[in-house]
Amino acid sequence: MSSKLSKETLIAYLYDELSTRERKRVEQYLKDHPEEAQSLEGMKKVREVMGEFRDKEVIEPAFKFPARADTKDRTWMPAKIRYRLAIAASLSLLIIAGFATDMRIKVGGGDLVIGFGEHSQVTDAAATDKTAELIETYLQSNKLLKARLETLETKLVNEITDLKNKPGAEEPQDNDQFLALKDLAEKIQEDNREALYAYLAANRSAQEQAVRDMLVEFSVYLEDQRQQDLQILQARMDYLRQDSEFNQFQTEQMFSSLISTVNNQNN
Amino acid sequence: MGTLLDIAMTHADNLIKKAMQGNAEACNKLVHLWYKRIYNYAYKYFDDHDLAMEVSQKTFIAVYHNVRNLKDPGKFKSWLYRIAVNYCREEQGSWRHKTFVPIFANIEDHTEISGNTRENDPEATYSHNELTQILQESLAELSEEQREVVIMREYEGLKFREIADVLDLPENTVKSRMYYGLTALRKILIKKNVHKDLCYE
Repeated sequence: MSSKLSKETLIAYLYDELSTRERKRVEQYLKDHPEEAQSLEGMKKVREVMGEFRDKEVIEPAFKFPARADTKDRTWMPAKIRYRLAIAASLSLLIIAGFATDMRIKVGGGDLVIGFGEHSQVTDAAATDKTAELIETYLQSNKLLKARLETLETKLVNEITDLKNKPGAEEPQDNDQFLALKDLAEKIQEDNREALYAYLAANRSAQEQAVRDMLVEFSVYLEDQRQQDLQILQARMDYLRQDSEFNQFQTEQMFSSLISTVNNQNN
Repeated sequence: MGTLLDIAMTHADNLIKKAMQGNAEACNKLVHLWYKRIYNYAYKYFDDHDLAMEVSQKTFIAVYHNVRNLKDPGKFKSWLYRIAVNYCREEQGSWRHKTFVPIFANIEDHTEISGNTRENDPEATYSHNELTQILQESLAELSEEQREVVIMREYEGLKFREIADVLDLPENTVKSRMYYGLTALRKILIKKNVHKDLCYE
């Protein structure tokens, strides 16, 4: 190769901005022209030395460009649409928070139930139903007991009547004594019945009070749980926001650093 | 690395597009992304922190006011450097009147002026700070035309085609300036005894 290569071609070779074919051509040329190769080698050394001149670190001034008055932004939207969009955004945020905290919302049977974490079968409505069922069971038991007592009473009266009407039975020697015994038996029976009714009534009242107390405790527990869940939700949202801001900051720092250093890597 | 760089460039492109639509926050982020580059270009051009800061700030204020007129987001980098180059030239003009730091268009004209304390000791090594200072002085001894090209290609990593775009010159002219710039730098560095391997003639 005898024709002299231009300095533009040589400098492009030095900075690796030639095609493969052109590069090979230059390499062959440099083999044939050692003085040019030496000159190019000298330039390479200059580049190496100049590479020691590193970037100076600088912190950009803390000014911020203000938002432009004529910027296309959302202020052109009517207030009504912005208000609705804000509600939609809030609901979206609630849904995202719901996913993050495992929140459950259930609507049905005239009830709206909002809860967090694992679904619990015990709810106010369920507890009320349970109480009603318990009270109903006691009332049913009372009815059964009353019926049983009445049966026993009937049976006793019948047996006494049978005894009285039994053929061949001896006439009581003292009819007045028999009647007194009968009255006594009936009185005892009546007393027992009233005592039993009083006991059952008292028992029922105590059960109702116990269930009422249980419901109050349960509602307090639910309220505490709700407060705790809301605090956890708030803490998680704060954490997510901080984490997001930190990640954004780090990413921007990384991009800035990357764009700043990529030039050296290109070289 | 390529992927991360792609992400960074995509991020930068998105910011440019937003800034072109008038988004001030995107402009602020572009400042964050590019400030160090523009500052270092100006710093190497002037060897002066205050001037470099001034040029950088003027450049980004111009970006804020004019980015909406940019037609092609892909031309942002060239456009940004063009603004910086223009402000550097403007400051250079006023700075030259205020000071008497010589800017030598031709190294041969300068050989008699520039002194060297290590002429008699070519094996002496420089500390990094001394070397940096000498390299900065060496750049300042180039002509403005050569200095612009050398800084953009050597330190800012712009391709010759991009530099041609910034300076609105034919690509071969840029390559030619680079060639003569490196040749001049070699002579300056030899004269300053920076590296004996640079002597090949």
